[in-house]
This record gives sequence, structure tokens and C-alpha cells, in this order.
Amino acid sequence: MEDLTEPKDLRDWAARTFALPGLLLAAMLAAMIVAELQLNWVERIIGAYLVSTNSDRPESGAIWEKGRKARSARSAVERLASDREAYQRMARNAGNLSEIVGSLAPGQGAMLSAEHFRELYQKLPQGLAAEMISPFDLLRFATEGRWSRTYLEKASDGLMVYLLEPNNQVLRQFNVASAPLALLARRADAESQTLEHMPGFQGRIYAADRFFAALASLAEDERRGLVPQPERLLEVSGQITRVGLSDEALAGFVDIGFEVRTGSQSRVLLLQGQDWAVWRLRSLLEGKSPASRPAKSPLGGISPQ
Amino acid sequence: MTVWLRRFRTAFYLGLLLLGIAAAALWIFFFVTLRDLPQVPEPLSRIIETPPTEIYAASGERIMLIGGREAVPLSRVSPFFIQAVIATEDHRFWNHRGIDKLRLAKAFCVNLFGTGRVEGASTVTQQLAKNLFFTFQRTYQRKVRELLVALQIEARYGKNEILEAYLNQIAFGVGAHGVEQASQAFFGKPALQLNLAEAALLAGLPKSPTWYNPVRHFDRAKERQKVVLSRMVAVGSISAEEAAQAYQTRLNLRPPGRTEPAGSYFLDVVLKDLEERYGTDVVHHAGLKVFTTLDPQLQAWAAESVQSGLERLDQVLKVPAAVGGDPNAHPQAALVAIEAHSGAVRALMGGRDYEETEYNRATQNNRLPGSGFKPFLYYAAFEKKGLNPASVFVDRKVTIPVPGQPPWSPRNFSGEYEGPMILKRALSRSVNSIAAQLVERTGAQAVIDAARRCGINSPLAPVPSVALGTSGVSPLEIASAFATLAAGGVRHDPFFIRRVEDSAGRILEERIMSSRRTLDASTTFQVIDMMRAVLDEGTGNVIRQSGFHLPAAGKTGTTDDFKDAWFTGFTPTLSVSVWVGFDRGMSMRDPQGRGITGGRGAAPIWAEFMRKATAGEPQREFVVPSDIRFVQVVPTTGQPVLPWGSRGVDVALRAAQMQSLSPFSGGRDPGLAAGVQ
Repeated sequence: MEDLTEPKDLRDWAARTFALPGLLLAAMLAAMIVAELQLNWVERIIGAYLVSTNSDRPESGAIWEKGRKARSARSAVERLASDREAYQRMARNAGNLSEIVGSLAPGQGAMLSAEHFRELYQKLPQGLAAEMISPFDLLRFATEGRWSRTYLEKASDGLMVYLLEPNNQVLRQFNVASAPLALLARRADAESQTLEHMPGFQGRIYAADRFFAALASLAEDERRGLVPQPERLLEVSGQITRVGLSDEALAGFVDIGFEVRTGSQSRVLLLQGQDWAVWRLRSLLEGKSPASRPAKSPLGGISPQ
Repeated sequence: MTVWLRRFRTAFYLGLLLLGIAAAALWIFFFVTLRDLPQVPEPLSRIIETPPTEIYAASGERIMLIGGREAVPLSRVSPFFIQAVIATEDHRFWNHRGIDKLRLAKAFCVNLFGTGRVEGASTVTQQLAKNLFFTFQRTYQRKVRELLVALQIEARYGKNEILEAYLNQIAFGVGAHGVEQASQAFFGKPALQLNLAEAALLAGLPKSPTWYNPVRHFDRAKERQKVVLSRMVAVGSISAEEAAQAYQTRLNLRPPGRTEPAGSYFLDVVLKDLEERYGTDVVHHAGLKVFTTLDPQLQAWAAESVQSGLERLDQVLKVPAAVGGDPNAHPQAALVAIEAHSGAVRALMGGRDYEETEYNRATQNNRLPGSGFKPFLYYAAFEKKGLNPASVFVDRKVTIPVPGQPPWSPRNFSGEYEGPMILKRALSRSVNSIAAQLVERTGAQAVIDAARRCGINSPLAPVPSVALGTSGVSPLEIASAFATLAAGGVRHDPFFIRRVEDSAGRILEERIMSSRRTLDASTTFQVIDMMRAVLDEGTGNVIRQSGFHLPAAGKTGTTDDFKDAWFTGFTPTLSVSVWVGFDRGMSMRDPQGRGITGGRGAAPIWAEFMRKATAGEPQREFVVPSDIRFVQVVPTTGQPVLPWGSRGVDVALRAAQMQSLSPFSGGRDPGLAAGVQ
């Protein structure tokens, strides 16, 4: 049996080292090193292992951080753009200015074409329209051909309206104060309201038959002053049940609300009557003497009494 | 067994043990490191998906690209450039699997036994891994992590994909990321068209983009190009003859103004504005499209005018050439040009050289305007005290009592007093003693109110000397305030951005150019008419001598001890302010001791810029309000010139003010004529 004891001297140690098993081991090691240098198998194995575990590792590092920032930034911009588009869409589809005013939040704005603004302007209550800008000025701007767009911006104290040239240079700017805006907002809500729910009519709501009876007792010019476009009331489908007179006047006109019932639905149709005619009718309705005229409100209309 | 054999045996077994421990430690370290190793995105091209934020000039030309990449496939990159990069950065790129072991071993030896020299051995793949995932902190742990990611990238992607990703994200300085941007920025051509010389120059930049910037440091860049060419010869990409020929090839670098999309004073203001409104991340990562008011041609002329004006000033002041590079050692300048009828800022220079110093003297530098503030005083005096350009005051030594402070005794620039003169002459000659008398009458607050209505927003001290410009303002403010005068008293806020869109072209905001009348049109015109005389016969007459002859008005400004020199002037369409001075407020005097005034230091820059900016434009006059009449008066009495008398001075008077003049008696009405003020 071979002696497994330690080598006794260097010769013995060398003999054992350079024996076949040692040489085979050395050759194997050398082959591995040469193979590594030639074939890079260590890198390949480690790389393959890392590829296999890639999905389990964290999304960390500069490129991922940048990706997160980019996603967050893009979604912020997306919000801004879609908000703006929503306002623009709303403005494009709006049938009257009160819809736009009611939908804008302070600090936000909407761009309209000049033609669209002219359409909306024509639908405004007469007094408010004239107070915003003279129709003759609009006519002049439209004729000159420089007016291309209109920007409406809701401010805390009203609405700023900018008539713009194609390069966004302002042709004319004007502010519509909060009080007329409140009237506009009321008009926006009128479609789905009853008179009780609309501000400004409390205490001045009358049964329709009583209102029209009083109207019939007025002279023709007073009736025309009160309801300049009676054909609009004739076009109404449904029954007019009540009529309210507003406590605010604007540029000589007062809102008159006609509550129309269709089935179980109620809505209010707002028309403008001249303040002196409204005052005359109200005197009749309340049995007062029509001898004296009411004081003017700060808006230039009838003061609540 | 001998003693040494026992020792050898002990050492052998100890070595084996240590080797085992090291292997185990390496194993553990590998898995610990693996835990925090970042995930590699798939596909690798994802790294270039972020859309860039693009900034455009008013002309539609793109002037800056932030973030994002202009990625190009390898097939659209010059083979010379690919060879140059590989020869320089990693010549065994095609053979290794992420690590260049031989180079690593060599670097290890050099770093271990060398004399402090640090040699790197990062392969292209390692550099890509580092750029994508890691900071530039030098730690062994980071190196190992970087190496492991490199191995993964090599295992997952082909060499071409790796090289393409590397070439498209590498930084070349001047804001250019990726070879396509770099090629466009430095040579104005696509990366595919780079010749050997250009490719070698560009390939040398990533080592230190600022140090080797060929526009700034051409010699250094050429040296680096030589190194790159030598490497290409060493690895056999090109022959020595080709290298020598390439080195001799003349390089057509783009002009400096067009090779620095990374920044300019104008763009700094735009970026700051955008970041305040949208946030840094949105500006840098959301891919906005920003349309500015910048007129690239005016901007180029502004840069030229400032450069040449300062070079002339350097010669006058005998500033030693060796101080180049130190922004405090030579005078600086700022120029702002604003469109009078919109407020759009068309050009802005905030200093001599943006590369030298990014400090923006056009917007951040509130310097004393000196007499440049007097137009606001005269406007206030006309409006509040009913004076007019023909009102007569006596130029004499004055002392103004100031409550709680020593009396104020302003002296004239010349040190002399000329006696009675009309206000138009007093402004054109910038007479301080008469300005002091005016502010004593109007009060400082009226002057401040007039300045505020014009658009001055900086804090202004309510003291009489405010009328002589003793509160600091920026060139942007004063150009904008004079634009209000140029527009006949209609104020437009200055602005730099017309429109912002998202990457899909949806508008996020657009500028509404609103205005408001803040000054009376007729009084404004009277001030303008007086300021015209500054150019025609007053302290700014160098403008006319320089060959600028279009209708224009302006005012010089010089502060105590010649620390600041200003000229702000305008035509009916463009308002331009120029400031010149040292950053540290040193006095500007030539070797003979003569100081640099606004007329001597700033007005020539203004004149050169305006000559170029208005070349070919038709002559546009300032709009004369309907109630303005012109009359020739005697400059010392304010009385109309007699038909047979010598030529007087034209003054603009309102119709109502004409009534106080008696055209044929040679004087004003008795009450006014007696009242020399």
C-alpha cells in the first residue's frame, strides 16, 4: 500500500507535484485560462445569468430615473393640453357666451374665431352687448379684416375679452365686470331651473295668467317695451306657468323669466324688457301707483324695492 | 523535514485557504451586488425615446435642443468616425465580451506600480453602462456594478446595437448628445458625411468636451485630433500617410454663434421662465416646442456690435490682452432690443462672452442709469407742472434741501454753468443743475410714478437724486420703458416666448400681446422730440457721426467716476439699450485720465447695431399727435425766433401751449416771458 504521508524532502515533493494527476490538474487549469482568454466563457456565463435575472432587478439608475421623470412630465403636459382642448372644444360648441363664462375657471381662457364671437355677441342681452363693446366697433374691426380671433379669459373680477389680430396683437380689449357675468351665469342655468332656484327673482314671481292679464292692460308701446319679441314666447312648446321679474337691471334692460312646464320638466326662458316698462307692469301687478319712477341701481337699472 | 520545507508547506496550505476564502467572498459579493444591480431596459434603443424640448427663433430656425436624442443608425454614421471612436476608446471592442482583460491587467499594474498616473480600462460597453445607470462617483463598488451590467449588455445585445446606443448618447459638449447632434453643431452636416479629419476631431471630444471644444480651444482640439489619428494608425485603421494628410486638412467649423446651442443669455431667460411656469422636469423631459421672439439675425448683429465695441474699448482703456478669460478684468456690456409695438424681445446680449461668464447683465445686473433716467423726470415735469420743452430754466449752481439728509448739490458733467436755456436744450445737453430744479418742483415720487408707468419695476428710492438715476435698473427694464415712449405712451410688457406646444403640436399657451396707454400721447411726443435732439446735437451725437440717420431718439447715461456708461434709444419700431461697465464697478478711464461716458462707450455699440438692424428700412417718423405744433424758439429765452433772426431750436408744443407764445413780438406773453425759471 502506498505511503500517504507527507513528502520527506523537496525532491519527494517535486516528484509528487509533477506526477500525472498534478500535471493533468495544471493542464486543465491552463486550458480553462486559455479558453477564457479566447472564448470569454466566464463573461458569457455571468452575462447569461444576469440576463435571466434581469426582470427581477430594480428599475434604478440614471436611465430609469430619467424615464420616470419623462413619464411624469409627459402626463403633466398631457393634462395641460387636454384641459386646454376641453376648454377650446367647449368654446367651439357653445351656443351662447353664458355657457363659456359658466364653464371657465378663474385664470383660464378660451380662444374663439371672430365669426363665432360675433354669433355669440348677437345672442347677448341687448344691454350687456352694448355695454361690452359697441356693435359699430365690431363692424369696423370685421370690415378692416384684421380681427381674426377672440380670446376670453376669466379673471377674479370679471371676464377679459381680447379681440386679436392674426399675430395675437390686441386690437381691442375690454373687461366685463362680475355683475353682468352673474346675469350671464343665470342665463346659463336657466335651461334646467325653476324661478325659485334662480337668483334675483325672489318676491317677484307671478302666475302667468295674472302677468299676461296685466300685460294686456298696458298700452301697445309699453307692451312692446316689455316683451319686444313676443313671437319667441309663441314658439315655446309647453305651458308658461309663471313669470318672474328680475331685481337687477343692466343698461336699461331687466330680465323677465318665463317658467315653462313640459310634462314634469320645468325650464326658464329669459327675455329682456326695458326697465321703465317692467316698472310700469310691476306697479300694476302689485297695485301701486305708477306715478313715480324707481331709483336707478348702480348698474343703471331698477333698484330692488 | 527541513524547517524551510515546513514553512513552505504552511504557506502553501495557508494560500489555499486564503484562495478559498477569497473565492467564497467573491461569490457572496457577487450576489450581494446583484441584489441592487439595475434592470437593463429592453430594447436598448429605449434610452433614446424621450422627445427633446425644442426652442425656436421667431424665424422658425431651431436654436436649442434640450434632452432627447437625435438617434441615427450605424449605417448613417461615417465609418471614419466609428473607426476613430473604437481606436481611441476600445480597440478590442469587436473581440471582448464587455471587459478587455489585457487592458484591465495593464491598467491594474500601472495604477498599482505607476507613479500616481491613473490609467482607465473601461470598454465602450462599460462606458455605456456607466452613462446609462451610474453616477460618476469613483468607487470600486460602482466599477464592479458597471462591469456586471456591461457583461449583461454584451450577453443580450449584438455589438452593432451596443455601438449604436453608445454613439447616440455620448456627450460632445455644447449641449450635443450623440454623434448626429455633434456633427451638426460643429460642422453643420450629417454624421454620415464626416471626413477623416472631422471624425478624428469629434472622436477626441468625449474625453473632455469643454477642454477640447474646438471652437474655444482649437489648438487643444488639434492636439487631441493628432492623438486620435495616431491611435487609428496604431490599430491599423488608417495608414500614417492618411493620418498626416487628415491632420493637415482644413476644418470648416461652424461660426461660433452657431456652434453653441447649449446656451446663450437669451436662452437662459427663456429656460428660467419656462422652468418657473412648467417645472424643470417638464422642460427637460416632456418634449415641448417653444417658439420665442428671438430674431437670429438681430442677435448675431447684437453679438458683433458688443464684441467690436468692447474691443475698441479695450484698446482705449489699454486693457492687457493677457486678462482674456477673466470676466472681471475687462469691461463687460449688455444689449437688449425690444419691438416697440409688441414688447417682443428680439435680441439680448448679457455680456461679452457667454462661455466666459453666464452672468446675465441684461436682466440680472441692476446698475445706476445716471442721466438715462431723465426722460421720466421731464415727462413728470410736463405732466404735473405744466412745463413744456420751451420753458426756460437757468443753469446755475443749485443746492436742494433733503429732509433728514445733507443738502444735495448736483454738479454738471462739464463742471460749467451756461445760464438760461430751454428744457429741450437742457435734456439734450444733459444739464444736471436744471434736472435738480425740476425734481425739486415735481417731487421724487412723480418721477418714480412716470418711470413705473413706463415699465420700470426695480426698487426706486424716493429721493431727489432718483431723477439723475441713482437707483439701479437693468438694461431690459430701461429698454422696455423707452419702448413705451417709442410707442407713443402705450405700454407693452416685454416677453420672450410667443407660444408653447407639446410634442404633438397641441398649443399649451400663446402670448396675447395686450397693451395699455400709460402716458399721455402728446406729452410723450414732446419728450421724444427732445430726445431726438440728444442724437442730433446733444450728448449722443456720435450716433449721427457714425452714420445712423433714421429718425430716432435716445438718452446717454454716465454715472459717478465713469463706473457705468449707457445709451438707450429707439426708432418708432425698435427700442435698444446698451450698458458698458466693469462687473466690479471700477472706473473706466483711458491712460490720459479721460472717462468713458455713455456717448463714448455705449453709443457706438448702439449705433453699430442699429445701422445693421435697420439697413434697408424705409424712413419711419414718429407719429405726431394732432394737437402738436412745431415752433422755432430762441434756446436761451424760449421766445419765437423772429423772421429775420438767427436760426433757433425747433420745439414741439401743444396747441394750448402755443397760445402763451407771442409769435410776432419776439417773446412769450408777459407773464411767462418774465418768468425765467
